Amino acid sequence: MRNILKIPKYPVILVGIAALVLVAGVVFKPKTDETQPASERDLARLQVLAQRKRLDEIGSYLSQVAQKVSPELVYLPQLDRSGLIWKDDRRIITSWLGNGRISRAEVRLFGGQMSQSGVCPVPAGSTFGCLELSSGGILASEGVTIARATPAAGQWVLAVAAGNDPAIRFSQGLYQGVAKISCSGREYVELKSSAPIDASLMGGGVFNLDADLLGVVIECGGRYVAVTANSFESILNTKVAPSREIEEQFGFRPVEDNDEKTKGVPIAVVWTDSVADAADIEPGDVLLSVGGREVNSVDDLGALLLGPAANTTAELKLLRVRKKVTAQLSEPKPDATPAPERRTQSFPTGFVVADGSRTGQLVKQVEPDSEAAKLGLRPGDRLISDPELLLKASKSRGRVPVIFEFARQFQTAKAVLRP
Amino acid sequence: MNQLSSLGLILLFALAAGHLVKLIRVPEVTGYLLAGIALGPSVLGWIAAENLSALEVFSEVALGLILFSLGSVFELNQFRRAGRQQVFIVLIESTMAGVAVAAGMFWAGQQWEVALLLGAIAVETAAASTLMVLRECNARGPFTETITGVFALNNILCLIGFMVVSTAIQLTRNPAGHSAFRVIYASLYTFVWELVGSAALGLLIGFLLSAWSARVVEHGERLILLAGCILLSVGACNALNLSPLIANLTIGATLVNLSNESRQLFKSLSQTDPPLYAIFFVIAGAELNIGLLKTIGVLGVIYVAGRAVGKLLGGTVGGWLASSVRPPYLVGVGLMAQAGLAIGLTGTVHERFPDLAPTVVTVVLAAVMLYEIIGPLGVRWAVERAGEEGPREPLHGLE
Repeated sequence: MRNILKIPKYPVILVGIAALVLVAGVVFKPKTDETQPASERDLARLQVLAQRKRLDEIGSYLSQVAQKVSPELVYLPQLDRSGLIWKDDRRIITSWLGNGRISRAEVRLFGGQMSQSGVCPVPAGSTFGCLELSSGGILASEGVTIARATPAAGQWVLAVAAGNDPAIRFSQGLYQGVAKISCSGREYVELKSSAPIDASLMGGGVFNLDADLLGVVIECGGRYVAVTANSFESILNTKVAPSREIEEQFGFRPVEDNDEKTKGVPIAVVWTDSVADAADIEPGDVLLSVGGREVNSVDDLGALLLGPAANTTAELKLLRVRKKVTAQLSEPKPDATPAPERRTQSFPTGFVVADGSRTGQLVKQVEPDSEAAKLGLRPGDRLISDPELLLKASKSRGRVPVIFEFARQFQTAKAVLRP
Repeated sequence: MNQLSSLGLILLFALAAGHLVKLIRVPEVTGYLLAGIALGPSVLGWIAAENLSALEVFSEVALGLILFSLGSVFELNQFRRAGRQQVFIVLIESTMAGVAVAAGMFWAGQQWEVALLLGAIAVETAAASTLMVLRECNARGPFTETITGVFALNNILCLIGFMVVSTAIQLTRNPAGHSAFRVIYASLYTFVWELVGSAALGLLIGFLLSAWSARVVEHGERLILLAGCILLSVGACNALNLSPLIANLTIGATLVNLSNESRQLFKSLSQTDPPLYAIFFVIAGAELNIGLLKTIGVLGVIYVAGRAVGKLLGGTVGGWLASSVRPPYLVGVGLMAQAGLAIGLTGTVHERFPDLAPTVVTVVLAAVMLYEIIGPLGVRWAVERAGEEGPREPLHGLE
């Protein structure tokens, strides 16, 4: 063995292999994850927690952090949920309020002071709600600060919500990354952690140990999830369409009618227990005027019902199967009844021929014995879902069930396509 | 107190403590550790926490030297003779210690990750303190030879076990939502890099040392060469995220197999290194936090008891089957000490699994506190029982 050094080729081969291994190791080093390792500060913090304190003291430390963020949260007693004071304005973000079902809500601020708030619009398909504090309420904090840095995998996070009793609810866990999710057709980024997220935290926030907001707790497809504050903020900042705003505030969805011959704005959807429902407006009605002023587009309607000069208790003129009816909008009392459901009816599989391809279009012709006819679609119906959806469903030969919605004069219909 | 006076104090206290503990027939290593605990932040606070981190470099170099001299046990001729028995003993005692601790943690209702990490760490036996007690006793004989090989291999096995466990945990977690390939690649890379990369670096530096040592004759020059190689290795390991343990073991193993001068080199080292080792053990003692003993809790007791039972039983069974040591239970007693690598691995747990760190770190550091005191006593007792104690000379060389 010792003679190896005397035979020149062996040491050269061994040294060559060793050098090759080192070079290969450096070259093929995997890219380090930006979120790993955890920041020095968090590590130091954990070291302090682990070495200088007893394990049970970690719990009390996290509780202190939860207390620190509590001024940024409000409690909504009628809805038994929490809300987050959003940045430095007077908006409060909470989970979905139900279209037109709630127009005002009581807010309990940090410190116990009660205040009133009104509904502010959120973009279409949002699964969260927005309230605006009336001028009397004094906020204890300037609102949540959204964390600039992405949390590192394995870092502590706290899900915190304002509660009735006890005053603050929180659960702790560790950040586990993010995943894309879809709630009511809208894309969010879910913030995953080992902290249990349940109904008691609804409307609350997920914070890091620096008390920065990382996520907002909402309901998505029947479960409670935290979506990242960044994805949330981008949705919040998108411009709200007037039809959406009307649906949010009054509980009916006006659709654009592109047929120049017909007058008025068709109503596609009416939400139960909403302002529109209380006014006895029905899906399929065509709105002709608001407070005596004629409307022919959603923009017209928006100008009259929304904005500074809005008359929210105006008399509406509606066309209902060649019979003019009137309705009176009024403000409903907020309550905590279950979320509203759409008036729906199931129809069998079919294919539809529609005039044009835009939402709200009138169905002018249905071929006899076609699948659309079997589906029950009739001339005069209005499409709520995109007709492209049905085209896709037909191409898939019914392998994928598709829910297709359309409006009929007296009801909203929903057809379920199945193989 | 500044760093230099801390250093002076460390050396003088180490010497005094060494003298004192001799009176009660306790190994000097234990005396150094006790002196460290007394001087450290947890008792007198004469060595401040910031000085400790500044003196860390001495610890790293000393540990490098200790592992380098431990590498000499892998001399091929000698290893061929006794290696199979040693591997056999290591496999049995390590498995039993690891399984006993992991099973105990499961039983106590811990997460599987915590149980497996603690099981993997429990395998380790402190190379430095065990080797130092053997040196101090000037021990020679079948027990000494067996146990030296066993704890050298034991550290490598512990590192492999820990890497397997941490790779498995990372695979099941994938917190950032990366593709399975990326997670497997990143986990396996660390694993293979630390083992193969460290060995490659050790081999390169070992070749350099072996080739150069033939041209160096003076004692002083040998020391310069050695110090240069060890410092280079420790520094390169830090820079490249390699394991100094494996790299320095490999340097020692390469040197002992390739160079005719290896005995002189190891001898030169053993005549010069005692102050460094004294500093190493006093710092190790000062870093022990005596307050942790209060927090040891049920998990700590399970860890200490599980590891002790596993090592004793495994060592005894292994020693009995290998029939190289009489009486066989001495192997288990000699493998009790735990420190260096175990403490290092808690740092890795901090980095990779901060959520598991509070439990793992508290348990391991509290257990190390206990094992660092009783471990050297066990080695000393086992050497005496085996009748392998040589003429008393303080901190004599391995030769």
